[in-house]
Amino acid sequence: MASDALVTNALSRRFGRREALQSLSLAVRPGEVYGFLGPNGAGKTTAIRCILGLIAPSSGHVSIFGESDAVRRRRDVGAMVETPAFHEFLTGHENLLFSAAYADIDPAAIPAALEQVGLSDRCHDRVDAYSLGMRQRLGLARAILGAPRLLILDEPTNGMDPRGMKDVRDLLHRLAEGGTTVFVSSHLLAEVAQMCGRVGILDRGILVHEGAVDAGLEDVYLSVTAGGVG
Amino acid sequence: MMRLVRAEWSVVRQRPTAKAMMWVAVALAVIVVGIYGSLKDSSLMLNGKPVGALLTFSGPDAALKALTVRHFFVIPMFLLTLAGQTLAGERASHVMREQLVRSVPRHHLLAAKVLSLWAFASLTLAAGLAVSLLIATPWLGFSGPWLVLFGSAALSLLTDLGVLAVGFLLSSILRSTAAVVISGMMILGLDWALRAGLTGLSFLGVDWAQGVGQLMLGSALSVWSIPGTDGSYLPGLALALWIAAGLLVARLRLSRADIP
Repeated sequence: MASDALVTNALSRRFGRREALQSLSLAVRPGEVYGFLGPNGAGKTTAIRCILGLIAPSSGHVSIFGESDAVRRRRDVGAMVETPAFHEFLTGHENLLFSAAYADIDPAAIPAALEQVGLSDRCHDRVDAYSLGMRQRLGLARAILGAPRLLILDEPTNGMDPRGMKDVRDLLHRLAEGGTTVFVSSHLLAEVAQMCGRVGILDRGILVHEGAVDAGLEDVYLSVTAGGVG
Repeated sequence: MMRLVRAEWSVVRQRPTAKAMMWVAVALAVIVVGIYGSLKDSSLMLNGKPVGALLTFSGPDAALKALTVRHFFVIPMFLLTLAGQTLAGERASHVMREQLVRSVPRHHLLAAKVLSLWAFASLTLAAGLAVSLLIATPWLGFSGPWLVLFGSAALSLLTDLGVLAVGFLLSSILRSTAAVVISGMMILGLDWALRAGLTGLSFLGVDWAQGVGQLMLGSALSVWSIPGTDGSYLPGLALALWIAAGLLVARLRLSRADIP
């Protein structure tokens, strides 16, 4: 039996006296689009940073496709955490060349990635001339570069107009149809409902609900967050 | 590893600070050689003698003077700035996060940054040297202390690595480029003051003062000036220790740091 794409087991992270993440256990199956939903400050980004090895968990365990080593487990991962950052003095294309070299990806994959996010025509502009939406698109292009098996996206539609948001949804659906596993966080219920097949809801660092996306998701979300959980 | 170095190199050479450093390194060489060469026929007097009679003039002599000025304040400040931008700056601006979300060990990332910056520093050194020799040799003559010049230039590579090691050490502790540059220059200033104090003690007959002074950071970074003097090689050992300690601490701190 194939390993789950992503497994976290009792993952916790404390910042001083504040417990930002408390014993998060979840499993994402290969090929699914999993929504990680929660209000601002719920701990979604902290969880993603632990998963990606950017911060060490206070306790708990992460594995990706069965690999738990903090460096090796990222081999098949593309990610975009919060607002993507770039070398501002380079063009979009040069930034992707840099990332491709870092990730040992053939630069020939860059035009296709730019095409997928609709940024081909502006890729030779310097990044400091990009709008927030264009940066998000370039961040997505970087994340999907090299066709990773697991895509981890933290609020990928931040700063995008409705057209851009729809483009991202379509892109994620296409990737999922091609077999890519997608783990996407958002604080927007409607967005997650349109993108994902299954959802985990995080509130104050605790996974308070996990299940399929269905008509009752909004009621569940409202009951388990913002006072629904003591 | 080499692909990471090449990737970092492609960024370093396009950094506005690096471009400015290259221009300044070349401009310093031109200015110093110009001033030095013009002293040859100058009527300026010092202790009743023409300055031109007190100095030796040749292409390599002029290049050595340019090398001396290169190591004074400006280029070390550029190196500290680049180390700060590359490590502390990229961590604070989240660029480092984007590199580390892929399967890259943190110590490889640090090594790639150090090597690419060192290569760039070496390029500015070579450019300054070439420009100063191209101007000074036809003007002031070929005959001169070539061995001392090339020995000093070779050791300058280690001095630059030493400054970078200090920059990366500070970058692993501090959170901004400005903090790295300011604290780096303060450390070098404090070091200079302490060494001046130790020199004073050594004149007063305190045995250990001179040895301690030679092990200090500033003495270690002036290792490039050893050729042509009868000075001790103790600063060379000190520089090796400072470089090793700086890079080791930077590696340990980076491997444990939270990447925002």
